[in-house]
Amino acid sequence: MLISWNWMSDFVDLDGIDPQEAAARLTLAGLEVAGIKQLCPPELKRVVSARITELRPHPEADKLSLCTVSDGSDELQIVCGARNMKAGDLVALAPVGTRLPNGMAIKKAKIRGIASTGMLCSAAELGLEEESAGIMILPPDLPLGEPVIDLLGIQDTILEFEITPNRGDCLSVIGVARELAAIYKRPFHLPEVKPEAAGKPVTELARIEIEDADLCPRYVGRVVENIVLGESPLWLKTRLQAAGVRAISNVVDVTNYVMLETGQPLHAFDLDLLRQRRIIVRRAGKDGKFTTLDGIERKIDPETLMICDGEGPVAIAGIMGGLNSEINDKTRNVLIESAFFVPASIRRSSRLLNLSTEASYRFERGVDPQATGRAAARAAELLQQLAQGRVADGELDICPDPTVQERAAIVFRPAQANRLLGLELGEGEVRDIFSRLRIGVAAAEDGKLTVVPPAWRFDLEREVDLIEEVARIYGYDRVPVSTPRIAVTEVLDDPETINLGCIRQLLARYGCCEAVNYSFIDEAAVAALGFPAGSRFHDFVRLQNPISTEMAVMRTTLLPGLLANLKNNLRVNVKDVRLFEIGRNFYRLEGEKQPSEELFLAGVFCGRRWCEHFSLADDKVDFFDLKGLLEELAETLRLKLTFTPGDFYACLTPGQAASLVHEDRVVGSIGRLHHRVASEVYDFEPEVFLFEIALEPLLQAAATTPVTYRGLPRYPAVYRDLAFLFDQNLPAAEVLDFIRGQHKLITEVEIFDVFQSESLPAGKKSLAFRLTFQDTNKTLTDKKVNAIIAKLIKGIEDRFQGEVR
Amino acid sequence: METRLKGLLGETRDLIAKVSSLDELEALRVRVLGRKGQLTALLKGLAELPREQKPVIGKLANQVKEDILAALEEARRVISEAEQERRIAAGAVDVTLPGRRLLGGSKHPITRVTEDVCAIFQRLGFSVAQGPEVETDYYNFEALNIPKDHPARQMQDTFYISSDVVLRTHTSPVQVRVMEKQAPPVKVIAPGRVYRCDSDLTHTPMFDQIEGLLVDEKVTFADLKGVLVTFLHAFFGTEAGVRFRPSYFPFTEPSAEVDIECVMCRGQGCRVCGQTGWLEILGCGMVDPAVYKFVDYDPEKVSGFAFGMGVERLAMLRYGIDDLRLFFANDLRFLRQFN
Repeated sequence: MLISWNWMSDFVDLDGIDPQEAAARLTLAGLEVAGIKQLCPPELKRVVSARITELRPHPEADKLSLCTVSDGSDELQIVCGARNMKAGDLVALAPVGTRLPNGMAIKKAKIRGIASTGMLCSAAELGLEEESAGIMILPPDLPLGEPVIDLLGIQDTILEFEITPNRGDCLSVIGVARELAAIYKRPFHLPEVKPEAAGKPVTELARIEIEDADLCPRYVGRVVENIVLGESPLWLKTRLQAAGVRAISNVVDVTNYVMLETGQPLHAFDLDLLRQRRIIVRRAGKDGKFTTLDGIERKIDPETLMICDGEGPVAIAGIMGGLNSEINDKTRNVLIESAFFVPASIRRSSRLLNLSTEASYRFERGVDPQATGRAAARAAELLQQLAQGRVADGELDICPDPTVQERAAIVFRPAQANRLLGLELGEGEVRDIFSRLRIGVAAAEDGKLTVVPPAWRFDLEREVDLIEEVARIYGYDRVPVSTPRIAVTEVLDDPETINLGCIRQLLARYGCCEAVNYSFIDEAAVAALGFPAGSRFHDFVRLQNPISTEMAVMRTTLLPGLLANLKNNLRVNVKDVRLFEIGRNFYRLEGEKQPSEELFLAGVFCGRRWCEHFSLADDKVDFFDLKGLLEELAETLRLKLTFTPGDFYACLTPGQAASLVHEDRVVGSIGRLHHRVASEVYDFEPEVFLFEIALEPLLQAAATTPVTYRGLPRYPAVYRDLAFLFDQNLPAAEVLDFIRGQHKLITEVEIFDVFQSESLPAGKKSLAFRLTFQDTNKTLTDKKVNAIIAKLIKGIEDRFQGEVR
Repeated sequence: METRLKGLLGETRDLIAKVSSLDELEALRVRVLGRKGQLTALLKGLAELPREQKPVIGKLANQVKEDILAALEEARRVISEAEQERRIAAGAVDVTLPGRRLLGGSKHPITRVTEDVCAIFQRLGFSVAQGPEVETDYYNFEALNIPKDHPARQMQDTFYISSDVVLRTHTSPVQVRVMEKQAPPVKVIAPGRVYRCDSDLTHTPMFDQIEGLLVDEKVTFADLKGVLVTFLHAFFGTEAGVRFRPSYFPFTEPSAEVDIECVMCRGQGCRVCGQTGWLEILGCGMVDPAVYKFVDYDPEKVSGFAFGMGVERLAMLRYGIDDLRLFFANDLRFLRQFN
């Protein structure tokens, strides 16, 4: 919201106050000033007053004139295209070298063969109005050679405010001026409004009835007849411009002007278009559709409050007028509406219509119900002055619920304020603050004040609201800084958070960078990865109002995000990619309002295994890089994760993929992205490996698994190597598990060689194991170890048809 | 005999001087001093000498032997040092070539900042709490004193799942969930992802917030100032000025916006702070009594404060990132800078 400094000075004496300083004080009092600017750019000072001393036609052009002007010291010759001036007029002269607000630079020029040294400006060219019919003609008795903006007194400082929703009372010049008066302890002055009634009694000209008083407790109407529709004077246009509102015509401009000044939205009806010259305020009921003055036909909810004439709706109350009663070129007589509509009703209607206007914005936040009449009178007064209107005698003030103008008293305990704020204010200080804010103190006893807020302060309903006012005016910066005295209680660090920290660190150590993707995805991306219809990957939580179809459902897997990231990185020529993400997936639950939100970890890998180095082979990442990472992850979390060759994501390559199993539950998948998906969906050239794993079951298990300690061996261990030929399809893990379970003295088994070659019998592979034997009580003998090995070989022969090599 | 002994010493010294390897030196030693060496051979003539000469020559022979040994030892030292140096020279590498490194990974800047903020508050005795991202209207709005059609709802463009389920627009619902479960004293910090239906240069539809809540008996607005000033100084590592200015949130009263003196220009005014010299960092306030009603706390007995801040904004200030969209583009050229 833009507020003019000059305009505010109509209501509070701002002498000696620097607008910059005032902006800072207002900001610290809760009215945030987001910007300050001058209405006219400083450059405009160069445009000065000058008198046309001679005016004659341009010898070479019919539409141009030749002006000789004097700025008091020099005579200049200027070619001018306007026609509205005559010799002797005082005009605005932009000398050579001036740059106008529209960007035009004034240079010496030859126009149709005649030299022109400067330009005579229109108000539009000076940025003072939208459009001008001709050049500016200044009042005749002003001095020559002085800056025009100073002579007209139109230079102004504009403050841009961001008003919080609770301060509807500050959405006006008067509202902000009142705050300034309170902050600077200066008197606030509201000029009396007295339109001169010259017309018939208003009761003979129009009638107002309120049918739904619960939504409209007060409605004031004023009639002005015989108006002459026209342009507003420059001073009014300048003020509208300062507020960022376009001038239209004097009648519309006056309603806007009064709204900006008082915060009370007004509507002007063409009285002659109101059938039966009646206004009826009622709910829309079955009216159905209505065309607003912007020409749009809108569907109206039956509960929406409408302004109707004798036959039907003419405006949506508090939001927008109708096309059928709009001010137009033929308008002679107007009815000005100034009303108080119940804020909640306007909010609801505005939301249902998806239509927010300057009027609805103010009504929603509450307008001063005591100022309804004054605003109407102010508009009538201005129409009388500016549109030669004849103001009807009296007003139509329908107020079926006079209590709307009263405010309930609030009990305020200074002690409670001090307790909450950490201050030690005396009652006197509190009373001073209240009086500056026009909060009346009705009674005081037992350390309690009974106070009544002013009518415009809808935000003041409870004691705590007043405590905020006290703090605000006293100054937040003056509240001391202390530390809470709070009972000492045990603070448990969330084990989940700690472990997530470890997991992220581990992944970073493995060269992975953490990604963060939006939680919403395109459901087509899930289908493209081959997740079967009917699986939980398709139990989408859908947004009703997504930003786009690509972001319309909550993700059920982290992979689409990471694979898209991979693609983008490859596109910018980053070839070695290791990305991971930790985030929630969302699964709709039948019969539940909220979905299941589950924390997952996923990663995508492609490119080199090692950092590039002249001494290292150019190996690419493969399955075992990812598997090793996940094995280490399991070890970090002190739990067991098994990799089984089945039941993995459909987007993976059979033979290079596994499901991740934790305590008999499949918690994820790992493997190489299937070449069909890689090429057809993502257009990837390199091999891509990925995994996704549910973290919650792992984190829970990890939290309950303590670290255990085993004593160090006191006797030497014995190491033996054994190699076998097996069928090439036999999973090595089965043999490993078998050997581990064979004897308690076998404490470690590792596979140190896997060999497949044409030198071996067809369909066979060789696996070589390194076994560690350890007895905690004595030194092992060869004899004992040999006996265990003999039994082991026999067992492997029987169980796996392995042949010792 | 004497002449021959002295001759042997001289000859051997000459030979030693020409030797260039330890092997040659050893061969020379054997040839001269070995059991079948020249010295032994020479001393065989000792028996034929007159008796009175024997001790003299014997002494001389010993002297010659010692001198040869000393010369050999000296030569050994010199040669082995030279050999050592040759070996070292052969093993020299170009130390200016790059080292062999592990791939560099990194935590996302949002994670880093979240962890830092949480750690500061954990040191102050706060514990970490979480809540759902798909939230009911009740927790996201109603219980935070934002009834339907409240103008504050317009401040937050909400993603709807159904008429009464939304993507949470802030982390504040966690406040209500925590207070529902637990009696005061409450001291929690709640980081999390939030969503607003807004997407342009300075807004992303998803972003991250950190919420804090402290409720007990006798907690004051002055305490709120104390805790947040402590936090801001710890996070930014400066004693920069902090200002509190009145604002409005439906679930706190009095409410405040907290600004810190611009960390870029030290309050002088720059592009980052929009020439104001101040950076808006967080919103806060004393918990509104209306919220206590929803969780069965007695506002006459307890008081407390809540605050919330945007993680991306903190990360932008900390790392000097000027484009919000970089956080979600996951470009490795960006992410790798945070290792």
